[in-house]
Amino acid sequence: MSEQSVPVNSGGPRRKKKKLSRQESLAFTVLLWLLILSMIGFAVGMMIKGNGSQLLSTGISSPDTEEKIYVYPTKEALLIVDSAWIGVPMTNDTVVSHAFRKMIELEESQFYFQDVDDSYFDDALFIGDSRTVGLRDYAPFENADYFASEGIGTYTLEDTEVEIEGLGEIGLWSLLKRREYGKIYIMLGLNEIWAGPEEVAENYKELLDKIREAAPDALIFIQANLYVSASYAEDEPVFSNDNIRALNKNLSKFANGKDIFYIDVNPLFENENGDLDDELTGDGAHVYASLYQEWDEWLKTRGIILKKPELVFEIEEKK
Amino acid sequence: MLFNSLAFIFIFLPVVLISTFLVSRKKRNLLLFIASILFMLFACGTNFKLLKGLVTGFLKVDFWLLIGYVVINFFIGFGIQSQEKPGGRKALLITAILLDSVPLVIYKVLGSVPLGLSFYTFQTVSYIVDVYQGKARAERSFVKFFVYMAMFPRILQGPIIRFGDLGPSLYSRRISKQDLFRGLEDLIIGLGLKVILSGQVGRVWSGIQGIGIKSISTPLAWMGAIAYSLQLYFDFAGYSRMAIGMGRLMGLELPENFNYPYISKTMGEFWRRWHMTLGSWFRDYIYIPLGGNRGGNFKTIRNLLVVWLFTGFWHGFGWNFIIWGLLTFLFIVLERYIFGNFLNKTPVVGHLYMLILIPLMWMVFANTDLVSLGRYFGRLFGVAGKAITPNDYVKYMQTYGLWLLGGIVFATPGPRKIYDFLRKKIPIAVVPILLAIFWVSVYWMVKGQSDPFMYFHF
Repeated sequence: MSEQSVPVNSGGPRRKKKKLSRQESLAFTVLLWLLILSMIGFAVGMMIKGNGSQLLSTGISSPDTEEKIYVYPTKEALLIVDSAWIGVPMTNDTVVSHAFRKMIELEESQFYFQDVDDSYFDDALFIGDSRTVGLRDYAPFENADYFASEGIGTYTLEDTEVEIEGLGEIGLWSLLKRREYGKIYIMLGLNEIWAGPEEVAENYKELLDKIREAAPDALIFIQANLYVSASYAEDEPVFSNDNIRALNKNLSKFANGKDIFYIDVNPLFENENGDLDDELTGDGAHVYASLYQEWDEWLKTRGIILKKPELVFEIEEKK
Repeated sequence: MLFNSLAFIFIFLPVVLISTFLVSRKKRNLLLFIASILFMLFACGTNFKLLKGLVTGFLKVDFWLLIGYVVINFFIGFGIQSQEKPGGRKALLITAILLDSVPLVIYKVLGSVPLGLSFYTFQTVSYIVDVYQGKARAERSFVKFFVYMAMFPRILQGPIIRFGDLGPSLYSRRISKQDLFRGLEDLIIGLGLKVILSGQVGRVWSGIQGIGIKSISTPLAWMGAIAYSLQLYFDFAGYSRMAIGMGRLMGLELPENFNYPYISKTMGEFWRRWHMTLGSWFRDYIYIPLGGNRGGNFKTIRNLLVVWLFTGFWHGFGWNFIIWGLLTFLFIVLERYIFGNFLNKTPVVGHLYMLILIPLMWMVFANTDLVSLGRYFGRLFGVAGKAITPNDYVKYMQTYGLWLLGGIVFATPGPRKIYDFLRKKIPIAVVPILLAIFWVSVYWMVKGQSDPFMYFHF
């Protein structure tokens, strides 16, 4: 920073102005025209394809939520619905809620989650986006397969090929033909939530039916989409946790309590406001790598074993 | 509105450029004035869509801060020039400096600086001081002053311009054929640096944030530090190059802002190559007014300390930025008095020293709370934390290895030298190169934009 050693002008050295040679002049005239023509072509092409509105996008990622108005149930209302489905929301002072949650799940839907060990996942397939990639990368069950890829959703799943050990790059339908799974866990829908929770759920249902068809004997676990942190939702309002809750609620309806089940890992990672806890995430959208093990442990409390244990009959009799 | 958005590249900029050629030279400043106001409205507007952004921008305090800065300094500059009493001039000078810097300090402390504000202070203070010292004349035309302060190519991130430097081109607004073509070249190359290189290497860093820094392996920690260094450089240098290119296309000469900082041999040299207009501002408006190096070693060191504390604070209000500023100060003082000459005379050692120091310094910069700073350095040197998957870096290397390598190559002057050589020998050969850079950039922009949520997130 001494006066002698820095250039005197305020910026860096300026390049000398030099007249263009004829060849340079020609080259740039060609460049300019090609650029103009191809840009016009591109813009026209976008409009013909019906994507013209993309050209109006200013790159500021606060999406226009006013154009599509969804009426979402309030968070409180959803919690009540959630309670009916998966038990009461877990808070710090409800120590018993874990057990209580299981009881309600049991009464409401006639199925029964029980604790299982790692071997339960020997014939499991996990399908999902980057959150499932996290499960695969940071806490994989040794024998399970993970059909997971960053950024995928129900719309893009079928065009996606994923590296599966022993099979190489493979699409989902070929995979389900080649291997028979006893359990299929699905966590999808968040990447396309901007299309609206109802639309995504509709598409999810189609996908679910196809998976059912391709794997008739597998138990399917619909995993609720993980929430995002409050600050993340603030930056990207379309990912508000109210939207995610609405999506999850729609997805939960596809469970039948017989061979399709709905499980929700969020109580493990949410804070008292129902957002992904800031202490547990670095980017607001994924839990820290070290926490996927807890997710696994939780999955092990959500096993379904088709042969119904006696307890279930007892309760049914009481009814 | 961002430079790397489709609306900017396909609508806003072409409309402004074509209009610039259609109107007479005298009207060009007025046109740029209007375009810059529109740009700022779009930029402040939180809305995704062009027209709604305009309306929402109008309601934002960010926009009115800009107007306030321009109006106040326009009149104070005038006042200083017409005031004859030294006392009155000084009072106006101090008033202006306070008015220009206090909002910035408040917003920095609050932690949410409005768009562009960081850069207003530099331009207004330099303008007011230059007028006070007689280095520049107060501008009489509000339109021209607004163009100097807020022309859209540079309003968000600089470069920081001195009024006197811009002066001649601001008055003539002549656009020669070589300005046009050099401008186009700069614009496309800048876009490529920002969208292609910075965008791709940047994903390593965001990936690491997702894993959680206490759980990454040591090789991945180093990869992250390198990736972050490259991302920051290409993003900022690409933006600056685009700004310079747009300026040229409109007949305005903006100063260079980067000169291959990563090939420096010393920290001092680095800061003469990195964000050059910032460094020279601190030199001319803080270091030299304090006495520079003319008051003996003690005063020189004190002045350097003040400069680097200010630089640290300007980058952010947090302990890590203070540490970052102090460390830079420390290295610059050590170089000045102890090993700077040695590094300059033995380039191998100098380059090695900087190649290790640069990513480490950026990690102090990037980890904005002390806990994560400690954790990151813990992972870098394998002394704290534990990798959750010790070979996580293999996956990152497979996915981003080539991008990182490309980034390292493009951080040196090599590719540019080859390009310039080609341009000189076979000019037509640069046409496909530039077209390719442009369209690959657009491809990434569309990919990022058609799924603006998917691309970076889950």
